[in-house]
Amino acid sequence: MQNKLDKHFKIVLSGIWSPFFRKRIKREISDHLDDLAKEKNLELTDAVNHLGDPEEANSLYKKLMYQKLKSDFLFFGSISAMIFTLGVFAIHEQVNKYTRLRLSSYSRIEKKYKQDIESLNHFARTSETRNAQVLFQNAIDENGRIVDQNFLDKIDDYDYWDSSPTINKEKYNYYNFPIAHAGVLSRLAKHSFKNLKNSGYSEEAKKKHIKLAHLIYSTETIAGYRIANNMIKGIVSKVSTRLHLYSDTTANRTSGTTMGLMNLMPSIVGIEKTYRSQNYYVAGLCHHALDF
Amino acid sequence: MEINQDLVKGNITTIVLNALRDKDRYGYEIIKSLEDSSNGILKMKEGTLYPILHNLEFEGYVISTEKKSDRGRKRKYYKLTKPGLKLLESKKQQWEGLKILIDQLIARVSYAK
Repeated sequence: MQNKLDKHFKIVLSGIWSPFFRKRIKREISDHLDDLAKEKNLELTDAVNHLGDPEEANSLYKKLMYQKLKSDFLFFGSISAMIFTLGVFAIHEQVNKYTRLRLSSYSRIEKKYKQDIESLNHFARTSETRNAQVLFQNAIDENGRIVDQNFLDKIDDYDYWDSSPTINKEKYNYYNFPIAHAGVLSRLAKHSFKNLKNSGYSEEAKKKHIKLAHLIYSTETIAGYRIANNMIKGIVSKVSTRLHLYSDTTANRTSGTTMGLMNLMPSIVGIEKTYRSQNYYVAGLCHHALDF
Repeated sequence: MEINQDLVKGNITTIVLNALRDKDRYGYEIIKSLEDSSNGILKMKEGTLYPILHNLEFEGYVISTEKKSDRGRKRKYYKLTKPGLKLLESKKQQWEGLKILIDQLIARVSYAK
């Protein structure tokens, strides 16, 4: 009987390669055979003889399998094609973004300086933040409006990378101004740039400021940022006594700045993207401001 | 009475759908019910029925569920769905139309003789 049944199955299942379909057909035929045997009081051996033409069944099953396959292919094929197309677009967009924002240079720099930075002590940034707040609080009121027309002049009074609390708070008015918002910074930067143009700075000083901003802007490189840091030192050289006093902290300052920049990379990328169309100075100041 | 199976084949889907109209049935039960209803004339084989049921299930005209039979064994029961019922009605109408047409055509041929 088993031989007969095996032979029947062999013919019925010939060319049916889907394992699920094969399993289902086998089960159906077996159940049917069982019912047939019980209903007609037959031995299974005889019941096999009552099964239909296996070739006809095979041809119907095959037709059905290919019909289902076609439909599945259309369904899953379209979905796969859609996912593939979207994937290509997404990758393309990512590559574009990567190129546009020059993210590769960030990661290269990050990699290059990582060890160096990690080997240096972390710089306590509390004073920087406070000093930066003092700076901005004097330039912007609580509504984010620029109140201090001589904001740029005051930059020179600060060394906001200075870790020691040397700022004379009595000298300034305080506002409850929490964190410098990008929009405020932008307005501030634009205003400062205008002031810079009209300021009494010598052409050389103006150039230095612009160069500074330019450098900061181009400090998608940490190296550039370090140069910028040195430039600041140069610009604020009129308070050279302070610089002299804190010259021993230069290494720490640099590392703190670098570390700060590293941490701020994503924000910098964001701000750069936002202010790409602005001039270098604005973008540079925003960079700077973000470091707070 | 001998019936040419090819004549039946064209309407086999209607016949199977109709067998499921009143109650859910399993494969062998469908074959048996058709055999009984046709006084033993229509002897459908499993090799014909199951591919049709597969197809109807694939098209959404029937659904299959596993239930325990009276004998305690698990069986796959087929149930007519709403679209299946609609299809049956439409096929029945088509058949009525075809029957009238064939009757007319045969009658004409008789007159011609």
